[in-house]
Amino acid sequence: MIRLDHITKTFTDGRRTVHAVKDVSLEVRDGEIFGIIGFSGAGKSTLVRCINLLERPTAGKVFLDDTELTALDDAALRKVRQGMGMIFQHFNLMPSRTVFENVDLPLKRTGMPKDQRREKIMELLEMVGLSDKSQAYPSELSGGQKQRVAIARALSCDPKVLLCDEATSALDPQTTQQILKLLKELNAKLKISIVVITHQMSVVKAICDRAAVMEQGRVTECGSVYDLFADPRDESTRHFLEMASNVGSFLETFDVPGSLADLHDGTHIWFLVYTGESTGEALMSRIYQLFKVEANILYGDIDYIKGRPLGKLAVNLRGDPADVEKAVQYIKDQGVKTEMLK
Amino acid sequence: MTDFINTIMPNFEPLKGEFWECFVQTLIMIGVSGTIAWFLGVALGVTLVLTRKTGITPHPLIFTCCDRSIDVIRSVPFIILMVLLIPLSRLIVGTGSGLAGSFVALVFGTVPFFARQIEQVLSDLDPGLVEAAQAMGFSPREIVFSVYLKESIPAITRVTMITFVSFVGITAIAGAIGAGGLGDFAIRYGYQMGYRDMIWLTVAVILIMISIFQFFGNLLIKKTTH
Repeated sequence: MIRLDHITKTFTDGRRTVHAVKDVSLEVRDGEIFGIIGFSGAGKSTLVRCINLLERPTAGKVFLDDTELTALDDAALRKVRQGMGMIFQHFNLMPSRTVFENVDLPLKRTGMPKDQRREKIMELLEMVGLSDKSQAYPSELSGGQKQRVAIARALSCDPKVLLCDEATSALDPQTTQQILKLLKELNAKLKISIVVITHQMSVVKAICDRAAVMEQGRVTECGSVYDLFADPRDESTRHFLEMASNVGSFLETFDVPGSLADLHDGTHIWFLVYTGESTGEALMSRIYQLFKVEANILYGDIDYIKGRPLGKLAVNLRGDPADVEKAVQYIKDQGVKTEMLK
Repeated sequence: MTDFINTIMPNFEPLKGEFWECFVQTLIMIGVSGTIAWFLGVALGVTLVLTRKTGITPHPLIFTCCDRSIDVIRSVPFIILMVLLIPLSRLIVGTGSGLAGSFVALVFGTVPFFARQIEQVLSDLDPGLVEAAQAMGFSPREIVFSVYLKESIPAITRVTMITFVSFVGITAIAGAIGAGGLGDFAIRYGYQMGYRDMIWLTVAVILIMISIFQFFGNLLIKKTTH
């Protein structure tokens, strides 16, 4: 569907050059929700703008299906852009136009007759749940409603792709959930591919099928969201995941003297990541029964990604060193990823 | 009524015809030069915003030419600019003096100031709106008309009102090259003849003119701000 082929984008401002995107290649498949996640300044927004060429890449090619967008002239490119909707962090609705007129904006140019447009617009507003607001101005709407209007506007020309640039970052958690739910529904109903740019881990977890992690202009890891969370292969991915979840704050306590003072000498803290069926607590009680090894749980967290549980535990194992070793081996045998933290 | 007017403005009766003529000349200057200057100013302001480095169609040469010309013309005092432009005026409208001779000078005296204000207004527009329009596949032309100008109507109206006041000011100066108008009337009768009542009359008429203009301007701003 969308293929980015060795995309590089460099900004030059006087003597300063900024490498916003460095040699990124990825593919967004038909009908999937693809996430691009990373800290601010990682180059995500530049990368998504390279998809519809709001930013022309310094090097590399962009393909939509079999069309090489980077080879098109401006007029042809504008035509292609009509088939790619885009929504933004700050909605970017035209303040002097009503909700109806905003959604009409891209439609008007298609030459569709007026009554047909009206029908289409009301249909779109119905779909995003705002049919009663068609005559309101953007300033009269809440953030969530504005983003719904923006979504209706982006969908008005029946695009095959919807690009979302930090679309939920200016919204409160509850509204974010509603917008994500809407995006997911639209993805299922219209079979539209969605590219989601975000720094919010929860967004990727909630709706993405696959995701890429970006850091300093590079894609450090790309794959199914579950694998990304369960088994990050790249150091920087892991770092990002830690920073963006509770594990981060737990790991920070290691550096605070005295915070883990009740640790017994000679014992260790183990970090366990278990996926699918095995559950942490049953495991802990079993190693006590089998090896008489006591587990003191210092941190625990279970995520549900696409309905599959992903558990993380940090435990302090206490017992006879030989028994602890056997216990750890037993845990590993259950398919749990095990790592000694301290 | 006539008695009352004669009491407060003893010099009005004999000058009535001339005053009316001068008033019409001022209206013509405002109508012709003002309209031309408005369109040129908007066009120049739009050009500056489009061709600057961060604009949607960057073009350093055009930008620099427009930008510098504005600065140069703006730094020449209007009364000198008028004299300077007499040859150009002869070339364009065939005469360098009189009412017709004032048009070129008035346009040159207003456009740079107005264009700068339009440039400022358009620069203040949320760049996200332009980006959204680009993402929808709008051409630069469509972006100019349906985003830059359409979304800036209240602000453009505001700067038009500001420019109008200073424009009325320079139409009075244009009287110096024989363009006539209320300024010329005030100089001749108010200053040279010392008729204080005619000065007051001129001031009152200009004030009313500006107030009417601002009334409609404010109405438009109110109607287009949401």
